[in-house]
Amino acid sequence: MSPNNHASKTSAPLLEVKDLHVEVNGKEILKGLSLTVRAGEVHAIMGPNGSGKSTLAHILAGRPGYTVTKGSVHYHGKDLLALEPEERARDGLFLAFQYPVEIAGVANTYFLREAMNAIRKHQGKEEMDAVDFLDLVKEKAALVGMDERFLTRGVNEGFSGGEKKRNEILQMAVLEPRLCVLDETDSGLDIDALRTVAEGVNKLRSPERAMVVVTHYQRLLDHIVPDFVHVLQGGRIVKSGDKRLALELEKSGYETVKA
Amino acid sequence: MQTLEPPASVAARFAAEGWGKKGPGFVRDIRAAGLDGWESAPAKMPLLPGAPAHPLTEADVAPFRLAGSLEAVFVDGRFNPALSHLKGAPRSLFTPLSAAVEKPTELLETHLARHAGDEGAVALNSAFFTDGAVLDLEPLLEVAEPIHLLHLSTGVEPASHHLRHLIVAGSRSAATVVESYVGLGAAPTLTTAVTELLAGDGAHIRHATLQRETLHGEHHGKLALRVGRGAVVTETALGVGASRSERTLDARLEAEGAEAQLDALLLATAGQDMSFPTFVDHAAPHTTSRQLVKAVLDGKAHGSFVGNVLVRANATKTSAEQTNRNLLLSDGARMDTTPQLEIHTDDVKCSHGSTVGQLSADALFFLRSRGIGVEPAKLLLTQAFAHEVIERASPVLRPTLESLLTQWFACRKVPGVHD
Repeated sequence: MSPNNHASKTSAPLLEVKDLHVEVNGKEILKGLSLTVRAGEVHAIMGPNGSGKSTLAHILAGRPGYTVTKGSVHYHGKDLLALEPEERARDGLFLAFQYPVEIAGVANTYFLREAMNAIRKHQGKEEMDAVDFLDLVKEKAALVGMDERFLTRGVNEGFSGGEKKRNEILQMAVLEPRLCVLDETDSGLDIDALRTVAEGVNKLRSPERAMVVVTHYQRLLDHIVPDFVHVLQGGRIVKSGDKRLALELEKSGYETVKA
Repeated sequence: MQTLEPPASVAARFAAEGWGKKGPGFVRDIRAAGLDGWESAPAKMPLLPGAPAHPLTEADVAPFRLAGSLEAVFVDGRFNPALSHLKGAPRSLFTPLSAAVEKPTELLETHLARHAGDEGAVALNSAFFTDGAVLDLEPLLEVAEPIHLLHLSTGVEPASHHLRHLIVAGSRSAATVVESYVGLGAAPTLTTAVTELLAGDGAHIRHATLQRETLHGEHHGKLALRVGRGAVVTETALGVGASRSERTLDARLEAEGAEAQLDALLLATAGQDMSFPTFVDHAAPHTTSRQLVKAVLDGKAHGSFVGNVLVRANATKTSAEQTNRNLLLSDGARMDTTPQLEIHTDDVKCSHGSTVGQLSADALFFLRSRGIGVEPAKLLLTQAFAHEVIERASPVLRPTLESLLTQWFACRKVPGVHD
């Protein structure tokens, strides 16, 4: 596990969310959220159900159906909200889904190579052929502890909850993003699955890469130890601290948190 | 519909050009009955065979060949030996119909035009067929190479072409037969193609039909399958071309243990109208049919699937499955689907289902969130949708089917290509 790079605090932020207000179907979900994330940092966003955690994850990735009414999001200086979802991904943003989609009929490796090559093309690099890519994806599968037989299956087709989450982490390992947003990666996992998924994530921590880990429960943070913990409540971050804040929340619950 | 010839002239030309006198007695009867059937048919496509074929070169034909196959090439409704690759074919396997009717065999007389019925386009085809393939698979004969019956409409000038194939598979014979209907030029064309395929006891026949006319063309066809005791027949129909097309699939499971797998992939865009009626007749006990029809429609395309399954009273222990799935890529596309089961015995396992849907917004967002653009993501999801049909097809055909799907997807919005 890489230590937090405190030197980076002086560097320009990788992600800067300022006073963000977001509506879904006319209802305001985020009500002035601000967050600054620098390279190398791992931020945990904790909060009760309905606090706006997943909305934050989705708005960062560019999911349609959300309306920003106020505020801004900058990603290494660029206006993130002006970019299409695929442009964000090609620029190194990655969302690990809470509910990964099943796509029967498209082999996992085929899909991953399409994604990888879309990103490489954007970076002006040569596209990778099937043979080279297979070597790479096998190496990454080993890194995140995924059985190779899942590579040739349809995307998440017949995968268990744990396998689906591991597949998200495999995609992250292959695509090597700069900013990873993990949306409730722990949901639906038993303790063993949680541990292996967290190990995969930890192997991907690096001084160049930042992570925003959205979770309801503290237990994920036993395994993915954050540098910062933020409490999201009523659409705003009401409290920030270090990893001890997560333990506090575990003991006393969200009700006791005061801004 | 493009009408190039007034309906009244069909009978006149039939008489003037001596169609009723072409071939031996039974063929003349077929033609006369065809003309009668045609006159009484509700749909009118009054286009008759025209001048001899326009010359094609190897370069014209090459893109449509099936690698490693025994290939009988037909150009503008007539067999073209020079472009065909039939070396190494078992003796008497293939005879052009034009030659077969000159020296009719018992096989021809017994089966030609005895199975395909006489409605609409079939009647027109019976009256005016010019050529086709007679495939005679002797009992126990296994043909390793796929047999490709490749028809090309040159489309140099308005014309119609009427192809008639007869495939008789003797007991326990095995073969893969692919029919392709390709359109080349920009002139309006009409192709009718009727195939009668008889699978004898224990025969294993994989059949496929690739309809890839131009959008200046119309295509009307029928495949009549008769499946014998313990015989297994699979059909993969791909429809991608023609401004208007209707291909009927008519399968009869005639004896115990007969099995048919009937799949189709229909791809239509712009103002294309594509119709795929099927009729599966379980006429004996212990018979099995599995039907999977998938359509992808874009633009203002209109598709239609009418699937009839009949289980007769004596057809106990029958298993019949019919699935129709449709994907609409645009708001203007429309699909009509009518699955129908008619069951006259209790001791059967039958299921049918039909859906019409759009691409999943969640899946689309997921793929985009991985860096894949909107169009490539839609292609990927369309490939996923079509995958099941392609996977069930003969392995020799899968690369062709995959590339036709990709080409269709890429061209479906290009002005001029599908407008």
